[in-house]
Amino acid sequence: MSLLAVDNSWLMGLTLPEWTRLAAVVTGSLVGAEFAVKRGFDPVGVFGLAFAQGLGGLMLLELLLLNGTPLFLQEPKYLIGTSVAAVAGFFFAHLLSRSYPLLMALDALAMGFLVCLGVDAAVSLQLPPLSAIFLGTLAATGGLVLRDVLAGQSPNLLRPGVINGAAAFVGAIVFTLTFQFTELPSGLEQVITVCVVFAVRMLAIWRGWSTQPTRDISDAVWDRLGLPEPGAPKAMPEVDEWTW
Amino acid sequence: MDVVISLAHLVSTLAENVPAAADGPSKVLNLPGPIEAMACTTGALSGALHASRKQLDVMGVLAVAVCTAVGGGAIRDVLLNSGIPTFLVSPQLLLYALFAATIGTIFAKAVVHFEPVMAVVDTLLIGVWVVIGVQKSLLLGLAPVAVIFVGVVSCIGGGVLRDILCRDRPEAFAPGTLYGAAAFAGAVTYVVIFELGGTVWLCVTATLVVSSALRIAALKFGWATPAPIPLRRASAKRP
Repeated sequence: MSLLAVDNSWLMGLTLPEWTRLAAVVTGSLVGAEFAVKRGFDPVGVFGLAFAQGLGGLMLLELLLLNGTPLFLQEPKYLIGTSVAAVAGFFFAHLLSRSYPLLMALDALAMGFLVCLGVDAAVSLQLPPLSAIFLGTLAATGGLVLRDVLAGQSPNLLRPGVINGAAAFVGAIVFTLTFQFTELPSGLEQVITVCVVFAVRMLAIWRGWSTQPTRDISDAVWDRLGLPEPGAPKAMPEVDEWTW
Repeated sequence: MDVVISLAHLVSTLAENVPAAADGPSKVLNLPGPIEAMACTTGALSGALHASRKQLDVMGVLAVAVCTAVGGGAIRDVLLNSGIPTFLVSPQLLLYALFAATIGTIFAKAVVHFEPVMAVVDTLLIGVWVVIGVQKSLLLGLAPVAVIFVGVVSCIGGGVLRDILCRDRPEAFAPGTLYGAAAFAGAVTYVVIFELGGTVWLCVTATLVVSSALRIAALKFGWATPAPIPLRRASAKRP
């Protein structure tokens, strides 16, 4: 591996072994390829979406933190991994669809790994806790959002549905809190985080926990406080009238 | 009222910064905390209001709001490749964004009432974003055109990111009230005055005044950016 005068110091601080990163990338690519095949994309599209979902989170993380060429361009195994996954997805998407629960389980694990990667990076760069939580969530969910944007649909992650991004968010919070407030041996925090993310995601899929559209609680709070009604408009203006 | 106080603070900081130019021309002006906080808060509030009309879930609204608040700065810092983006290094920016996003999510109806205030603040902030972007790239010794580009991108980046995540056509690109254009004018003003040898003080003030004045005038007189204007001979007919 040739380092092109790159400040990779945060990469050295990572605790999880490297295969977890590769595994997360390949799993993400498989999910992305399956998604693309189901929607009838052509081979380029399947490749594109597999790359986007597999490498998206890692790429965003490296864009923000790395001062140089992204890692996935320096180490060919990531691109080879996504390519193999994309080819496999293109020809065997039906098998993937049939074993979707297994794929989702792997995806939950991958999400845990990526959360650890993001938070680890922030920790070894000594960034503040809130940044660590942000980076962990971004690393785990960036690929999914990028895939949906490229596929031309509204990001699934942001819409009401089975808990997905929240699992990564919770995992990142758990990691950051355990790092800040406990003296656990290095490595145990990561294991706990992966377990938490996996558990939350799997339970959400199994029990069908899903998120709701946001609700406005102004009226309830205003009633409770006995404040006069602020004369809120009954219906909010349409987005088109929103000028700024 | 807060706006006035913050502006007064800005002016006083500007005045303090001028003597620092004794050892060579100072190119940078550290914006005071309240201005940065306001920039983040307003961005997050506008993002949250926008997103809560889109039937997103809590994570979605928070994500869109935070991206709106810090997106412009993040894109700027990634483009300039000048180390880790500011919003990740300084602990307070994400906190402001997250706080404002939460308020904007659960009290959207109440926050809508402050829309006019937020519009005014937002107008003043165009210049602030431009100044931050322009100064950062001037420090790196970029060419004037690049400096202007970075200034505009750091101003409209957050809004564009918000619209992409909400799957709208980016407002900044659609014909409408001048926003990107005001930023562009502000950035050009800064660079021109800087190249003519003006002090930081003059550059910043002129940028803030030009971009806000342009935006306010556009809102007042209903100026809008035009749709594409095809230049062709009168006789030429579209096939």
